[in-house]
Amino acid sequence: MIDLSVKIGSLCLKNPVITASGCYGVGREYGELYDPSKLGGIVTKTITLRPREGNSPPRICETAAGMLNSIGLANSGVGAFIRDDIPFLRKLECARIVSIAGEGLDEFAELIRRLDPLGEIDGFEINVSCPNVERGGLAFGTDPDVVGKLVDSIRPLTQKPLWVKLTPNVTDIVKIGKAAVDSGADALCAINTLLGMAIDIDTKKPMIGNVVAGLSGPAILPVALMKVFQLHTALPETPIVGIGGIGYPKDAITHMIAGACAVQIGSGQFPYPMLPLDTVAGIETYCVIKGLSKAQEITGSLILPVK
Amino acid sequence: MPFDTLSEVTAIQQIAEGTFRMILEAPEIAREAMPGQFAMVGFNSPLFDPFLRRPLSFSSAEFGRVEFIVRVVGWGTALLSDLISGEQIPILGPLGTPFPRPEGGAILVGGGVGVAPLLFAGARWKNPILLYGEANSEKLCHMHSVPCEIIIATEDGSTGLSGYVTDGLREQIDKCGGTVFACGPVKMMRRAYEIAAEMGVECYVSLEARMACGVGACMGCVIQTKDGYKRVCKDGPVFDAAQIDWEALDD
Ligand SMILES: Cc1cc2nc3c(=O)[nH]c(=O)nc-3n(C[C@H](O)[C@H](O)[C@H](O)COP(=O)(O)OP(=O)(O)OC[C@H]3O[C@@H](n4cnc5c(N)ncnc54)[C@H](O)[C@@H]3O)c2cc1C
Ligand SMILES: Cc1cc2nc3c(=O)[nH]c(=O)nc-3n(C[C@H](O)[C@H](O)[C@H](O)COP(=O)(O)O)c2cc1C
Ligand code: FES
Repeated sequence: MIDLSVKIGSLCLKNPVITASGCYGVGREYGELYDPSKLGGIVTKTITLRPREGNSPPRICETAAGMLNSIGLANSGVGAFIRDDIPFLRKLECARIVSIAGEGLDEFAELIRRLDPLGEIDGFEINVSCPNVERGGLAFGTDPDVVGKLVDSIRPLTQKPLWVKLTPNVTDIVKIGKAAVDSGADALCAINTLLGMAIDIDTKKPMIGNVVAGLSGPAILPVALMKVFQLHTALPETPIVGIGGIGYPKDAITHMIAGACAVQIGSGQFPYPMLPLDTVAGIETYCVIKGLSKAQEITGSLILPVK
Repeated sequence: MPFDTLSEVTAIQQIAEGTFRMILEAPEIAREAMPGQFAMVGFNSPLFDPFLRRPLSFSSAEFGRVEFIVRVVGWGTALLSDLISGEQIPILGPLGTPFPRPEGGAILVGGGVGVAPLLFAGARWKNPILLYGEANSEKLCHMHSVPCEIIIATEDGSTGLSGYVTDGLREQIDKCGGTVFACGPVKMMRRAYEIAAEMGVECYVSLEARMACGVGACMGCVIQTKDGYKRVCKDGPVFDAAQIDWEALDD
């Protein structure tokens, strides 16, 4: 028997596979294909205080081995989330992480205040890739001081695990990660999408209504792996959740070898809906082949060249 | 409930210029598929080229098989057209909201490859009439069995009536009334809706949008309606035409 369970701070997952925010709703739709309770956990779409319509279409576009998206955090707001989605989450027997975003520190705090009492929520993922209205729309996640202040301000409001999801669109992701951990984040999730665009040569128009968008999918795996590796190297005690570019189960294993204790799968599900479940099986098979008794042993097992 | 299966191509053949008919063995999907629903059809592409699956409407589903009519417009549809019998491809379906079954008569208006879901409706419903339009006779799909009464129009007049497929709609509504179901280019569907609205009959349309998940999870495929953004893959692809914000859809 292989022990697939992993610990992310105080939270124990039955296996290291989680679905990524925005690619899985709350699990209702893909839940018609397989039972989400078989996964280690799910991260909900990002929830905001007020309902958000989201950006004008077209919102997505296929690119080489990946896609661009500019959904614009479309969601019906925390009130509707509590009313419509919490009853669904109640039935899931896996870690239920709620992704939240606000336009300012007060909105993040208000979201935590409303969601923290709910037993259906096992932790929070702070999406700092959203624009900070108080600072002219610049993403929270691009400034270590702002990220530090944000985590400082919400840390006292909850005992539940606080994960901070980092954006790769910064010069030094380690600085931002350190600021989050110093302020009390329990884990770092990396990475969110890389900014990019696509253009139609015929019409000379951008392929995405919002012009710029986030790149995801197998195309970004090498970038994601390096960010996970850098974070794990600089912060060896901090649990890292690896996200980005997982298209096959083996890609999840590379994230773990690079230093991730768990992984999140996003757009890889679109061409391959059963990928999260197959990844659980793939990690188990890998342990058998490598003679490991615990999936946790994969984390950070990278063998570097001797200098 | 959708199924994700690896399905064998049992037949594939060209039926018009740049257009082919593809039949797949998919018993679970065929059992549940309804007219207006679609599947996300994938590729055997280990390096994710193409990455996303392609949404395609069922043109038929019976005897454990599903059928699609596909027009080659880009890389993905070109790859599908190169498949041969015996090859296997992944398909996820049935997806989306089907056409509501009409209580009285039904007038089906199909432009181009938009005729696909209407052929399925034509085979399942009682005595509908199908108005089918193409640019010219080269593009006209060769039908193996026509499921219902059909009136063909070509823009250049090379086969059937000369002009747009919607030109004959007013007369049909006059003759037998009923609900209008339209699928094809946006301009055509809008015209069909305007005529239906003028004559006081209901109109349903099947819309297209780029899709990633196809199941309603990613919010990527929305269109503007009078009730805000709606997901084409889950809330549609079939919509009550009166609910659509046609101005927003036009550009
Ligand atoms: C619900 C639904 C049902 C459809 N049914 C049929 C059908 O029965 N027969 C048929 O021939 N076509 C149908 N289409 C259109 C078909 O999905 C596109 O022609 C196809 O995706 C084009 O792929 P491509 O790689 O050849 O083109 P490319 O332009 O190279 O595709 C690039 C990307 O854009 C997307 N895309 C391009 N055109 C469309 C479009 N019109 N609609 C949605 N996505 C698009 C592709 O899926 C892909 O992600 C349907 C679309 C929808 C939404
Ligand atoms: C359609 C789509 C919607 C997304 N929405 C969110 C979101 O609401 N919040 C968030 O933190 N990340 C969101 N993401 C980013 C993913 O969670 C993930 O970080 C990113 O896509 C990289 O992983 P991948 O390559 O496995 O997709 C979204 C990604 C996609 C493709
Ligand atoms: S394609 Fe994902 S919601 Fe419609």
